Amino acid sequence: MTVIGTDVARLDGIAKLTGKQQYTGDILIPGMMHAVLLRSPHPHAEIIKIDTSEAEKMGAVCLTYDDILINGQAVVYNERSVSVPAATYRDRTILPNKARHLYEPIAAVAADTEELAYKALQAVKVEYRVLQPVYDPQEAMEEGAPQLYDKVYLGDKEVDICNNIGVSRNISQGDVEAGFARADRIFEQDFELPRIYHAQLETKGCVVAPEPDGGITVWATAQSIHGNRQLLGRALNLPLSKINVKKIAIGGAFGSSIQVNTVTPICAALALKARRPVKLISSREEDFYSHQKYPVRFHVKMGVTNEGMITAAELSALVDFGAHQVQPLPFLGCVAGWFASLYQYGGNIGFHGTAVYTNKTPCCAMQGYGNPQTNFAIESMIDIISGEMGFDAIEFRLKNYRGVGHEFWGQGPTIRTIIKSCGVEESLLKGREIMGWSGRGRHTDKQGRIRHGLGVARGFHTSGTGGPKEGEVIDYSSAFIKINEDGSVDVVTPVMDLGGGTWDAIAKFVSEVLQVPLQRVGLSPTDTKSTAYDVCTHATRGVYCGGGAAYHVALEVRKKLLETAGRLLNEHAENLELVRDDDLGQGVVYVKGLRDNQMTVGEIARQAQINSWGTLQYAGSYRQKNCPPCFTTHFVEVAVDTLTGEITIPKVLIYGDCGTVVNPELFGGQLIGSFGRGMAYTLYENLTMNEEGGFTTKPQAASEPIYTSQPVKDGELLNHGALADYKLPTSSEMPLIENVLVRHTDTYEPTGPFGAKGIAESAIASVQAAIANAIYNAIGIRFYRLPITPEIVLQAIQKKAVK
Amino acid sequence: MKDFAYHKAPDLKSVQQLLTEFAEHALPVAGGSNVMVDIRNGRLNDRELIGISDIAELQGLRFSRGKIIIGAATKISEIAVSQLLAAKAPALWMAAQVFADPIIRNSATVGGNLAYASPAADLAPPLLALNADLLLLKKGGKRKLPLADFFLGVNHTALEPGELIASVEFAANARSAFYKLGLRNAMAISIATAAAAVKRVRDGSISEIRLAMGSVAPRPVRCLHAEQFLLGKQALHIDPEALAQALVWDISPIDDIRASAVYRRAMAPVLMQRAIARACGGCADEVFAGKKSADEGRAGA
Ligand SMILES: Cc1cc2nc3c(=O)[nH]c(=O)nc-3n(C[C@H](O)[C@H](O)[C@H](O)COP(=O)(O)OP(=O)(O)OC[C@H]3O[C@@H](n4cnc5c(N)ncnc54)[C@H](O)[C@@H]3O)c2cc1C
Repeated sequence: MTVIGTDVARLDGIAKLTGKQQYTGDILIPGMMHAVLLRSPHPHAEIIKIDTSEAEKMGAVCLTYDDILINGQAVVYNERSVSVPAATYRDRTILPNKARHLYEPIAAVAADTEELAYKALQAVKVEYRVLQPVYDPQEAMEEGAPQLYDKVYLGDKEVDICNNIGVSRNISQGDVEAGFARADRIFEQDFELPRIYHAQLETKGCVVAPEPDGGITVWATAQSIHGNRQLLGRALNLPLSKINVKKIAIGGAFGSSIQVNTVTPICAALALKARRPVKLISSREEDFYSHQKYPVRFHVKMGVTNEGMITAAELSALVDFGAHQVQPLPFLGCVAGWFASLYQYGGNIGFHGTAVYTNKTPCCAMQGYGNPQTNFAIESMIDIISGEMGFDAIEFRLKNYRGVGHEFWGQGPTIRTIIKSCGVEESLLKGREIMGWSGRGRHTDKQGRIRHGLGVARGFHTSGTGGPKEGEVIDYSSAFIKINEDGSVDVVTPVMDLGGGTWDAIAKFVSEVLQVPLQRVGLSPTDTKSTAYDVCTHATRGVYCGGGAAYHVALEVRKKLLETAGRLLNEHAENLELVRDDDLGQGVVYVKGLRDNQMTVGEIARQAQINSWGTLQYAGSYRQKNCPPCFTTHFVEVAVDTLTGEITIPKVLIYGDCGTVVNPELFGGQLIGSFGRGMAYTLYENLTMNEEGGFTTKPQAASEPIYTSQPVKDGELLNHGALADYKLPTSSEMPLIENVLVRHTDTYEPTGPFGAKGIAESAIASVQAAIANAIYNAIGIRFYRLPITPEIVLQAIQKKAVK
Repeated sequence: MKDFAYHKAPDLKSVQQLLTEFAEHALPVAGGSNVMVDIRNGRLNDRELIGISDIAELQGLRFSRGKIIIGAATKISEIAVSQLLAAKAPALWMAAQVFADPIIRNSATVGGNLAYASPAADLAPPLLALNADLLLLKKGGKRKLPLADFFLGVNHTALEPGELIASVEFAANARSAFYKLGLRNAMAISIATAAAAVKRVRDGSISEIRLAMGSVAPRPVRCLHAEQFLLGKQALHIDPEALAQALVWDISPIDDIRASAVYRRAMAPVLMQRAIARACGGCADEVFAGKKSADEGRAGA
């Protein structure tokens, strides 16, 4: 029996359940110092002078802008390095000489204890020249708005920044105007999605130990060890061979550590200056100001014929990405891609994206990289059009979706693939039976205090960012696999597991290819020095790309194993068979048809060693040449309390298409957990900040001051960065587990390891629109902005009643 | 870094001593679930904390001759699991079900909840509706104070310097109920809460009732106008519009990070009507035997 598709205990399960798993925060090194950061109390200010002398008298080591100069120059970089350099904007340095958002780190202090470090921090004196901040992206583009930057770099080119516009991207295909001309009706609508916070369990941290040879060893919260190493090499001007980034467990990420975390180069520079190991762990409050999800304002336009064919579509996106570019360039490209890949639109697609600097926390990827945002707009739009034109919302989708044989943009316009496996139709057709779609009724038929509604939406994400041709994004992975002299196997992979079970999948692929029992596959604790490159665990590429590389390397090892066995069994390798023998607890190789003539894998490896033929091993790098979409469909039932505006979700059906399901329980866990996050995004999460002091050309409405137990500074989050005041739903808001139905489609991805593709980010893509569509079905009110809170719902209900 | 010192008081006598010794620097701390938050956010600094959570005299829950007496250092979790309270004071028991989360309930205390005098203190409305009295202790004396006279404003009470809450007491009333509306089911400071305790119902019509609300005024409030309005009304057929009209005179909500004043005003009658209906029809044993205790007391449940 194969291990693929069967549930087995997680490889890291025991370590995690018993608290033995080491994370960055657990690293303790004798002589280690503790670092804390001095953060700007102003959202926008030039730093005139920093006086650290008092802190140094207390025994602290301090790091300021002056310390990070190399030959008088600060190295300007982008923390995110998964795009090719020519498509990467660079605008930041290890520490800045200008603060561009509230609580941006501007100096660092290390001391023997955390307490002393905090005391020394208070003794650091900073002189600022306070500048006016700008918060609203529309206003940031207006004449007279404060400018965050004069110039930044795109690749090696210097580029001027005008009106705070960081990136603008226009992408089109076909003839949009002609498409609209063919339509019987045109629909236009605005949508808006807010900033939210990743709320990953582990706050960003780092430990750096200087080595006697002038190098450093690094433990960091990271989704890519090689990304960290490369950036540190560049920022600190060290050869890569002197930097060793250790692979260590991470306490969740949701995309927040695709880039190298801001704390990591600071910690490394401080350790080099102090010549002692330094630990720097963010508090939760600091983490809130370190990264947030991209907010987007959309304008959607679609043309539709009376027969239900979409003839053209246009999408404009305005993104306020904050104080630094953690790559809105590929973000906009991806938004265009998710939009383009949902439906065929008669081949006529227009996209206009603008991304603007504001004095806010920088935005970075968060589960879906623009996909949940785009999907909310488009899948709401599909529901609106269905309702207005009298189409069945499922039939309308089936007529227009992109499926097998169509093109999918896996990572913006330059990374495309032809879809070869697709569960969309199955999920919609079976799903509507299971959920009683035809009996859902119209909102006009519904009565009583609590009104129920059923909504559907479908989505996807890419599996990795590979493609037949190279594009804007880097994608390949590596692995080193060896068969030990007892038949057990070591797998050395640079791929990170963010908690989703990527390592389990990799071990299963190797177990299957080499027919070695899973318990005898060991994943090596490793680092950048002993692995070749892997870009990053992002873009739902862990299983498909990281696993794909391990799969291909394992095939090479298998070839060597059979060749060696052939020498020992006096047969040609092609006449041999490799199977797992569970009685022997090993793989065995035998001559086809002659089961008696066999050797165990351990015997073969051992004999190869004794004969001095060498170890059965292979190391290689591998790129996937496709980026197959993994599809999801959500059928959501909501109950709206028309007296309080509260929305609950009694039942949900989630369809996932990841090709072959490698880890069934983890597949379910991903879909259910992501449903929770999607529900949070749709109904709960609110990362409001005080924008009173921001630049504006509009007369400001006199508003009542918001009451909180603590005053809120200009540019500060109303929750003060406290998780307790950031109302993510708890498990008790989830539908009861028996009412969360999870299904996988019957699909097989021909280009994936054992038919597998990804699932991770797709799991959230269509949650938002499905909930909003269900709310419409319940009460006949359409919401175009998230979150849809009880107060907003009640307001809308009252407004509708008055009309 | 914030500075504070901590002194654990083993008994009432030593509390008094420490309170006297540190005078205006002294601050009693029970569960610390308000105090630690305020130390962390800088509202409190340089205080001498006097730990009172282990003092035997301040513990426990007693029932005698129709009266329930609860020690000030009693944890919310003890209230939440008390069959006695579920039967004899369901309003208080329901408030404990939806108080913070199980971890906070294991440290937060009754006395701390009242003494902190947050407008959103979840135990205040049920105790006001139950017409509770406080027993207050001070070096060389004690006094009894109706809870209704205790709350003076946001974080402001009638406690005198050096005075402690020793216990809270009230007459049992099985016909009482409480509902809370928050931004989520657990770990949420309330947007609004409502408590009702019916003293007498004659032929289905109300002849004596006490109502109270939280988070709709600078302090937890008794709803005297609404009480007046309800007299003689059929308990299960109250005109919601009229109840809302009466409540307008009892509450003065504000906008804050959780909700607007407008929303609070709209929610007040919804919650209150529900609490009244539950109190009038409510059989407490049934409540305790109920299917999902986590749902009890939650507005949308
Ligand atoms: C995460 C979180 C969630 C919360 N959720 C809720 C909630 O849902 N509902 C709610 O109502 N509250 C909530 N709170 C607030 C808090 O938990 C409660 O107010 C709690 O009851 C306070 O009790 P304590 O024993 O922890 O008080 P402490 O923090 O120990 O003390 C609070 C104040 O009371 C004083 N004090 C304590 N005991 C006495 C006494 N016997 N005599 C005189 N003064 C005394 C202290 O000096 C201090 O000023 C929450 C707090 C947190 C941190």
